[in-house]
Amino acid sequence: MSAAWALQVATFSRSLTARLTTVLLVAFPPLMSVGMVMIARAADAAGPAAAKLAPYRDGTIGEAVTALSGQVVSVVALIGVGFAVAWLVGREWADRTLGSLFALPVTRGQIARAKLLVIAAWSAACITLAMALTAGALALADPGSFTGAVAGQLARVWVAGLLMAALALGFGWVAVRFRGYLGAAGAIIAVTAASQILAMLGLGAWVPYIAPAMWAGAGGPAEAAAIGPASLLAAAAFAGLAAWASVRAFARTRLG
Amino acid sequence: MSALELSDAVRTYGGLRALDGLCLSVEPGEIHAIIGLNGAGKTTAMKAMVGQTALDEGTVRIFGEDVAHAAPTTLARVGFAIDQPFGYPELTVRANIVLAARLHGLDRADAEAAASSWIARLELGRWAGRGARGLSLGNRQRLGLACIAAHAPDLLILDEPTNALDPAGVLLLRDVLVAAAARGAGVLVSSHHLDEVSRMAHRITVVHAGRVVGTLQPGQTDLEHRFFEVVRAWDADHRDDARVRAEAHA
Repeated sequence: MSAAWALQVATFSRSLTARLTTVLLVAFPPLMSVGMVMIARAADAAGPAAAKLAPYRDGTIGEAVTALSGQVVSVVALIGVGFAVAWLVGREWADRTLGSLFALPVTRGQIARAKLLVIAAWSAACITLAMALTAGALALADPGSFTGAVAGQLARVWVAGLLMAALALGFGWVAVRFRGYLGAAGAIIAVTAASQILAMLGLGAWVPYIAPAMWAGAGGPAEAAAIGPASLLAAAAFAGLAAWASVRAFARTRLG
Repeated sequence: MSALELSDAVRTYGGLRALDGLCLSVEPGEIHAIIGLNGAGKTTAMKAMVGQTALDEGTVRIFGEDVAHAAPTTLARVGFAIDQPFGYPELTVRANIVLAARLHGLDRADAEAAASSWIARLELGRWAGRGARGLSLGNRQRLGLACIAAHAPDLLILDEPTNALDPAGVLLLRDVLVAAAARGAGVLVSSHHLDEVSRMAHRITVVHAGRVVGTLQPGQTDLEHRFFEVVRAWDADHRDDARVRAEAHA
């Protein structure tokens, strides 16, 4: 294990941010998707909540869970992984630890790459676990509706979640530019809100932060069908570019 | 070859010239102390030496190499504590030293051994397994010293290393710096503790208004008085320059 990687693993694994976002990424998707559908279909669901839960009564339980899962995983991956990246990069300013990372045999570029790789590995593990828990909960709740098509849709949600996590790596660039995690936190909220508005306006196919979510079914089957491989490749390319920009900005930063 | 050479350094912040043609060097085996008032340019100079800040003019060479393009093997010979000592608050004292040593080029086994040695040497044993977040300022400064010294650097750069240390810590620091110089390392240290500087430095340079304005003889008595003589003499000689600069900015 390289020194840069060892430092990032040690600091991230001991952070409160990692603990909170791990819970968010792993527990929230299965609880929200399977839990909400089962509550919606409970016999005593009535009153104002009943209207809000109505969409989750459409189709089989498996179909409803996968539809809701697409929405939840996309948003949670962007926000959860975004905050983790924002903290791991921005903490070097907030905790005044950046100064010690100059004039080392290990370059700041290597340190930045290690930061993003740690986040990428951790987020992939969390999202994979979340989808496995979702599938397991669905299999326990209603094995009859866990068809091949439902399994295929869950796999699509998993891929979309990984893509949204990769897109979140770009918030590292914002953390460098704003010299701390607060600016990046603001950017995460702004991107999430803007994505909702652009998606409602029907402009999501070519917006990197929307296309994977739509493909995963967050906007319904019709919108999902409108997302082709080119849109997903564009989102993946943007994620790669944003990650590269994050590393480059960290490597070139100075204290002033 | 000098361990460190800062030549004709200029750094401006808006209209302020924090460094105004500053030249400093550190030779192997030498403890070179720089003293000056707040805002004299000491910290800015040290930040430029390790690349934390960019110079507008001038060069920094470490063991003959431009610091911006120095080889990893050259940078592995450097240790510095400027402004904030090394130390991640969520890591234990031991983990911080091990990781700092690894970042400076030691392999894992050597870093572990060095950490144990420096924990004992700086009397950090009671806190070795505790998070750095809970340390007093003085012990954080000891931790910072261990983190930059565990890889046995050939050049040490320390900005105000004694400002939070208790008398026992000051003695430990002095021993560390004297021992480093004795094995051939160059040491650059800034300090406001003039008596302490006088005891351990081989060379004392007075920095004022971003430039070198004089030198003092280590070991001489009443160093504080002599320091102010040098600074006031320079101010008196350059009062007209200051007035011209002020009028130019008006």
